[in-house]
Amino acid sequence: MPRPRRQQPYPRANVRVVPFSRFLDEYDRPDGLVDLNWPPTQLQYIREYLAELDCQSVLIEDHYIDRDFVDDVALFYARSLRGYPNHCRRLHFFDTHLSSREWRGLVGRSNQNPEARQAATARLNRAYLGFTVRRPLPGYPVGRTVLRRVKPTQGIRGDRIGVEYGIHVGGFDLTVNGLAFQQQDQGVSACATTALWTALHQMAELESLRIPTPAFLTEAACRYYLPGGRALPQEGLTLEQICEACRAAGLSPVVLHGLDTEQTRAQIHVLLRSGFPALLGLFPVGAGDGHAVTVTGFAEEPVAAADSASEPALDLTKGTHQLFVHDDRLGPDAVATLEAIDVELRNGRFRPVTDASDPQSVMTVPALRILRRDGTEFDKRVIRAIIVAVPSKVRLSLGRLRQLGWILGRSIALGVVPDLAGRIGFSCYFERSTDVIRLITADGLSANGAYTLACQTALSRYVARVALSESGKPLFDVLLDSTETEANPSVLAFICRRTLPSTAINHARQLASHFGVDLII
Amino acid sequence: MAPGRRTVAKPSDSRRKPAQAPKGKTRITKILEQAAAESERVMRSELDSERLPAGLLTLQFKKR
Repeated sequence: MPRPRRQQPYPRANVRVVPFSRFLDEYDRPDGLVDLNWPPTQLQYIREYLAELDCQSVLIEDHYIDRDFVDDVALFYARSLRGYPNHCRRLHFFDTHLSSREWRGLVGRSNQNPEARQAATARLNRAYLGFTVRRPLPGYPVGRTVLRRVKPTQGIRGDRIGVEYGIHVGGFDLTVNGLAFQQQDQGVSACATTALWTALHQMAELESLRIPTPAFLTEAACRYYLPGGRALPQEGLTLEQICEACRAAGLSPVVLHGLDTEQTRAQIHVLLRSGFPALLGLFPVGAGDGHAVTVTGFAEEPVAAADSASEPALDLTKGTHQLFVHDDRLGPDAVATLEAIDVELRNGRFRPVTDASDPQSVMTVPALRILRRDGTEFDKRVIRAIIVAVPSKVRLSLGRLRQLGWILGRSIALGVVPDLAGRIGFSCYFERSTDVIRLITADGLSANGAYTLACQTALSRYVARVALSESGKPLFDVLLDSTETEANPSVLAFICRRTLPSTAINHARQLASHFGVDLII
Repeated sequence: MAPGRRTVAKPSDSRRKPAQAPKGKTRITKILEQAAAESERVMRSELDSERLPAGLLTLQFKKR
């Protein structure tokens, strides 16, 4: 008897492999006039980025339900005249040659015994470079994309925020460490939504929260305040709306502004070292709209020793010379630099300085210069604000933390170990107490000191840490209660991490007692 | 508040005696006080960076 035909047939799954040279063939040029170059800048960027990672093969899942896109469909696209599908295509990248035949063989052999599966999974994981979701949106196909990080230049230390994403394809469990990127779709998400969504991927992981989708963030941002008149299609968020969306996601927004270039560099360094991605609110010099990007990492070089009299303790944030940003107009992990530029501020807008400029309105401001993969300039804009979503119990401000770091660095360099003045560096950040204990007790503490810190010192979930070091080797660590608003009376532990002469230890004890704690050795 | 004085005690092991700030001004006290005074000048704008002027919150980010 013939099988009855289904009214609503289930889609067919299909997994296939193509060489990387055919990557862009998977993206169809949309019909009609396109106001963008084709392929879009983001696709070209991703192709160049993957080429740097020596990508060889692309494994394609033709039918993939993406949580972010399906929420976009539910909120917006389901009500369009055009019948948008609710599924996407997912492309996985590998730095090894793989053919459809080999893939079929891997799946088949893995089915026969657990050892074969383990070996195949290990082989695929070694070669795995990440994935991108192709949305069925004409002109805006780049959905959730997570790619392995390109290693920073040799000799430069890199510190990047990343989440371990688990991927399941063909019965294999793969992982990639990165941070999600996507192109704004101009329906549900604008640049600020996308930038915040990227940042919240990291914060949700840190705080065990559910990762919000772009549709959730748009709805949350537009719940109470709609300066543009309507929420959808999404035309851009104000700072106030970004803050509202942060709160809805279970985090506390902090907005920083009015910093010069070095202070901007310092505060971004503190945020990223703490594992908190920073959103930058950017404005053009001249005509144009505001834009938002997410800083996801930095590269730093050692800070050169200073004159011990004028600068007894070095601010290690000064070594930050490169940032990595997710810019939804370009791509993930784009290299960027901070620069000080002169502009004229007139009628609330930045303008280039000309001979006709009023000297009273000319100012030096921090700017972000974003580079393409080939190192040419993509964009340069003034940084108007830094927005960061922090865990709600992190109440201590970055400024107050850094102020105490500056005081401690100077006091220790001049009063405790004067021989090291000019070589002592200080850096400040927030860290989970459990990570701090693990790190500090593993290196440079006596058994008694380790026990005192781990079992006899009450610490907040996140502690603010002032780390003092000499040539990269730890010297002192001062831990502060981050649930307080003032840094000075909130010292929880003062830890000496190196064997020092008894006079230095006595001075360190005196210093610790000024903050109401004993010195832990 | 004078350095070394807590207004509210931190939770800690009750057997531990809280550290006492040394009486009188030691060399380290003077260095600390001088550094604290100087830090107000050096770090002023970073300390003020969370105080937002009116109008900043209405800035819109929309670039395509």
